[in-house]
Amino acid sequence: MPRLPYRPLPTVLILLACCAATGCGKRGRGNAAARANSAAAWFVERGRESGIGFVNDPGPSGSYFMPQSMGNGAALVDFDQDGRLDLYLLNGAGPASPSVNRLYHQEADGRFRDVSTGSGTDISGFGSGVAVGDVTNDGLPDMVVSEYGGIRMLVNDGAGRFHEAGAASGLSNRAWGSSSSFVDFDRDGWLDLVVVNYVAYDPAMICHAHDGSRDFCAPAEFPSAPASLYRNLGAGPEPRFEDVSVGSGLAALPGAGLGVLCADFDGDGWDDIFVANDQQPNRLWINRHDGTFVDEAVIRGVAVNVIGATAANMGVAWGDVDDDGLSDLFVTHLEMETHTLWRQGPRGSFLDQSAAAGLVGAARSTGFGTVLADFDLDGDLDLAWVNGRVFAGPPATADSVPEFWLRYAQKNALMENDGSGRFTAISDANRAFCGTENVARPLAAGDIDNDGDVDLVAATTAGRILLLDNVAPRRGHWLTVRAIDPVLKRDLIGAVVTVQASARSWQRQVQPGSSYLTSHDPRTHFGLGEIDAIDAIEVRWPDGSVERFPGGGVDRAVELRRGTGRTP
Amino acid sequence: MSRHRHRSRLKTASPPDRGSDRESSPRSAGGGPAATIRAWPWWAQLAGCGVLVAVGFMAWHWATDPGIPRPDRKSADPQVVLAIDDAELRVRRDPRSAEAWGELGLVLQAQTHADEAVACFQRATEIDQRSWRWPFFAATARSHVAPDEAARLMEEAIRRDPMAVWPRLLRGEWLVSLGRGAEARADYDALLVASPEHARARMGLARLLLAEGEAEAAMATIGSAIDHPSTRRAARQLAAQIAVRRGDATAAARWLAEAAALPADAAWPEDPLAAELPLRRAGKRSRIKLVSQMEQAGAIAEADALTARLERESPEIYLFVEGRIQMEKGDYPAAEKALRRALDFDPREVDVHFQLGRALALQERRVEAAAVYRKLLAIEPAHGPAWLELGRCLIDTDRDAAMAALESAVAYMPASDAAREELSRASRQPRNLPAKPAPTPP
Repeated sequence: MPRLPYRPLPTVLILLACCAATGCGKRGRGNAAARANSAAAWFVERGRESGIGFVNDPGPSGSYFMPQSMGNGAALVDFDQDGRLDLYLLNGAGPASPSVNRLYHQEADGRFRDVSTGSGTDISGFGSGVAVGDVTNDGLPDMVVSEYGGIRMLVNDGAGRFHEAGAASGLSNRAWGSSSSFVDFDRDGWLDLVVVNYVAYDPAMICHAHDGSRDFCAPAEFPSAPASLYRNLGAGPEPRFEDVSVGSGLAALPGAGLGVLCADFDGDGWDDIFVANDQQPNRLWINRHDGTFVDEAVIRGVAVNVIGATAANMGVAWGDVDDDGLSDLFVTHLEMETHTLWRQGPRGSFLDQSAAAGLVGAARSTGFGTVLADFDLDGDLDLAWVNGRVFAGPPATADSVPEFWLRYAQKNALMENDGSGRFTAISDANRAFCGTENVARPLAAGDIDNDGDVDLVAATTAGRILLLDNVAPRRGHWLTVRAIDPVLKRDLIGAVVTVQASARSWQRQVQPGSSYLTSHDPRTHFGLGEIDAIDAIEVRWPDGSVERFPGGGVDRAVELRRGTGRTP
Repeated sequence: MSRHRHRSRLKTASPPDRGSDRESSPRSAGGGPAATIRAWPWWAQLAGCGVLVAVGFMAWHWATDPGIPRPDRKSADPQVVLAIDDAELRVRRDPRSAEAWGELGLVLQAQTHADEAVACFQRATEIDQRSWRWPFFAATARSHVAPDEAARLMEEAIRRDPMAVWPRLLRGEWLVSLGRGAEARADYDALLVASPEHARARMGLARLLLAEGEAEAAMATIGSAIDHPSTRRAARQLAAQIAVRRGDATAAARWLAEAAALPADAAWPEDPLAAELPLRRAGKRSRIKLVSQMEQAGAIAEADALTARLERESPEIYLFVEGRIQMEKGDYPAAEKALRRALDFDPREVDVHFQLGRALALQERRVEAAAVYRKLLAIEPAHGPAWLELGRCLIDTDRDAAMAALESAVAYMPASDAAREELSRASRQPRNLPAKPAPTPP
């Protein structure tokens, strides 16, 4: 048999090309060649190998109890403050069920250990959302679980133990709580709590599709519920809240609330409250600085979509997608609608620019949890969302989905930002996240393995969680910033962190409560692209004061302590 | 059905004549094609026969099966299946009828089989080259899944009747959603030439202009939409949004105040496709819902007619209604009788179980009532009111079981004061000792 002559040069060239394509030995420098590499997977799934055996229990299949279809929450929380994110996952099988919520501790080797039993977090109920924040300013993050018909405050006692705050905490909610978020709306240094409520569901109502087959009910069948706002009264070992829903104005306008985002929408330095309503206009509660809010969703352009239609607004993400210095708003919707990107500009005004952003042609799906993050570190925010129908459709074929849920299962979606705010679907190349149908609801983001990139956790109904380790080819540098107040001993939710480099700047808000039924990593993450040194980091604290911290190198995690910077 | 009949006719018609044909054929003695074929080897003859049979089958299939799309009807209501079968039959009887295809499309669309409906509307479009309705239906049925394709399909409707309002209006809105502003603008402009005061078109164009940064033009375009009952509030809100964009906070506040003082805008009339669907929703539940919608809209005669039809087609509904009437009259034994007969028709009907439980409880037959509620809860474990009534039935005889039932009632109906009060009352009772009977529910 004739042998081919050995030619070393082409071999070397091919090897070099492969190396360039996979990014080997080049972590940290963004370049045009790497950008062409969108076909590489950005995530690998490591849930099972990380020791997370959790399988969500939404309750008995086939009962069509509506809360089952709306999902159970997930939180990334470093409950023991050891520097590694832990995981809290909710079940929804009811208070009498043995399926309790599960707390997983991340060990030093990156594996997770179930520490639920005896932790005080092993409670059962019709779990909905979970919010994380230190409500007692003792340095330990507490958790609030919103439920169908209840709200439960889990106070962190340290050493892996929590206790449930009793009725004296003033937290009470008989409505169907959905997403929740902490916000210091009155700037008193104590975290307040907003819980959006869905509908006054009547479980005796039996709903059918038009073909007569049984299905989950639509929210329009029931009266809507207003959001609840609880003011933290502070000062004491036990949390004490006052229900200010009526006085603040939030109770005036009911809406079938699903998603919530507390951020400064009008640029006055005070956090406002955006509520994503299902099949109703959204509300944008603008903070009037006196403990009251006024809804300005209509005049600021985020109540309805570009054709003036009300849509099924669900999960929420917030970030500057087009690098114009103003954060934009993304909301997921039903498959017969369009996921909507409202771009901000001028400050405080928004326009539905979904089509211009390339989001209308994206695969139609019923989206819930969503995240805007720079997954590939190229300096712009990419977009991920999880999917799953609320009404039965053609059945999926995924082995991992129980038969009943197959008619609701859909594939998740991942979009890459081209830097100008225009997105391209890269779902096909990301099988770990998008390759299999699921009924996913919450989507949480954070640097779980502390390697400088944003990982994801997607919780699926009646299924396992997806723990998605970011392995995207790195197209640039990164910085993670934790903004804390040593006096309050906690992450300063609401702080706005701006990283400044010679050519550009990036802004993020410390706000773990967004997406859907989810709490994210409280640290802010910046993909910096080719920038390899930063000039300064500026923080606008929740009380409006501003401090400037020195810049320096990149590819590191920074902890900024209030009072140690310079007043500009 | 008809396919089987055709098949049997073919079978009985062909065999007897075969041999005699061959014998008597004038070609059989000579060297014509038949002789040539007979000269083929046996396997070639067999293959030739096979080809002929296949061609014959295809020809028969083409002639008898007009390519009717078949949705999955596995879990569908029998009335839905019947309605689809009826509409299919019309197509089979007259496969060149656009009306028949269109009707089948409407029936399928009404039961949310949109893909199959679109195929039917497209056949109707091919057959009837004049009506804009068929391409309009096809496009509109597709719009929720693929608006770009819907916009393309709508072109045919617009070509057939450039003056028709709905095709341009809907396509304009889809094009705006798709970010194809210039094309949308052309549709709106053409529509407003034909119907200058069309409020929805004005609003659509104004929103488009605002999105394109033309705030002044947007404001001017709102025009008469400010007075239309279906847009007057939305028009003021849009005006406020435009005013904010123009930096005129005073005007924005004024517009918002005016909007807030108005009642909600009247619903816009349904598009021609949506308007056709409610009466074609054949499912029992859809029809019950339609009856109540008709009653709410004041269409009492139509509601009565549909009720009568429902009762004819679904005797269990008649019996259920009868049971409820007897309950209201206070004749609980009669109610029980009717409800039990209704359950004979559909033993899994939750509402009938619930009313039967009440009828028994109101006759002080609480043990039987509890059994009925348990049966219901086996079907529908989240039925909060059934848990409450079960708890009430048990409270005098089995306090622990009553507590468990009432705890479930509170869990499933967290906002129910009645459930909480009953649970509180049960918890105060000594374990399994007789307690004061609960007030019977109204």
